[in-house]
Amino acid sequence: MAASPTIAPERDVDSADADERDRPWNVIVWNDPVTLMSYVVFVLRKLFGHDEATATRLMLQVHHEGKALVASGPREKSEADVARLHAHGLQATLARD
Amino acid sequence: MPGVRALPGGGVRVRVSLSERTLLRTLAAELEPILAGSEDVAGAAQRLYPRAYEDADAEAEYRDLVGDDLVGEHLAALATFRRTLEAGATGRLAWTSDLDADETAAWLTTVNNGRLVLGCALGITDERAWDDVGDIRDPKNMALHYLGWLQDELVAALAASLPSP
Repeated sequence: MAASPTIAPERDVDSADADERDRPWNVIVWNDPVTLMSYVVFVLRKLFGHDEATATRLMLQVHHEGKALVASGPREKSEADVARLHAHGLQATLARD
Repeated sequence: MPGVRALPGGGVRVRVSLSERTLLRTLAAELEPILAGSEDVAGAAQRLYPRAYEDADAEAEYRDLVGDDLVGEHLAALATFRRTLEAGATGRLAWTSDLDADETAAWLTTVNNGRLVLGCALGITDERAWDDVGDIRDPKNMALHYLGWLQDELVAALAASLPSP
């Protein structure tokens, strides 16, 4: 009878760790007053394969709301996405909710 | 007619006046120490190499991982930009050059970096700052607007070659 309580919390901890690891990292593009709108649309299409309408919607969200979520996933992939956005001159960060 | 038009294979033909070519040469020379980090202009370094993380430790790790590569990519693009500016055909009034896909990407990167630095130098930190940017005849202001036109031309030419999803 004493064994169960010591096992159950360990499983909870493992499960919490797994949940934490699985939480996706969000890639956010931030507004910049100098960067051309047409260039932002071009970069989003080039890097993420969006069609023009989707890339334009995201660009307008960045412009009007100050930022937009453009991708999410595992940390390594999100970090690589941010690095590619930085290489193209866009302001981008990654974070988890 | 000045401007940029797409060529088969992802490249472009650039045609600009001789004075515009001189301006591009000057801007490229001024950009090099700023990209390399040996000079800073009004916080341009932070704009050229922005943070990826709010957390200081994660940011330091990111900078260790990709910082040198980002600087190297920007400098390599600038070197290609400067090399191609010395090639091409010079006419009585205009200079014309055919760029391949990689050279075109280098132009787009460098023109964008030039605009970011000029924007910092002019204090354009938010949309409203455009109203207070001053005399359009100011050389930095003129250069910023000129590079905007050139970048828009490059984007329009390249956008047509993007694959449809």
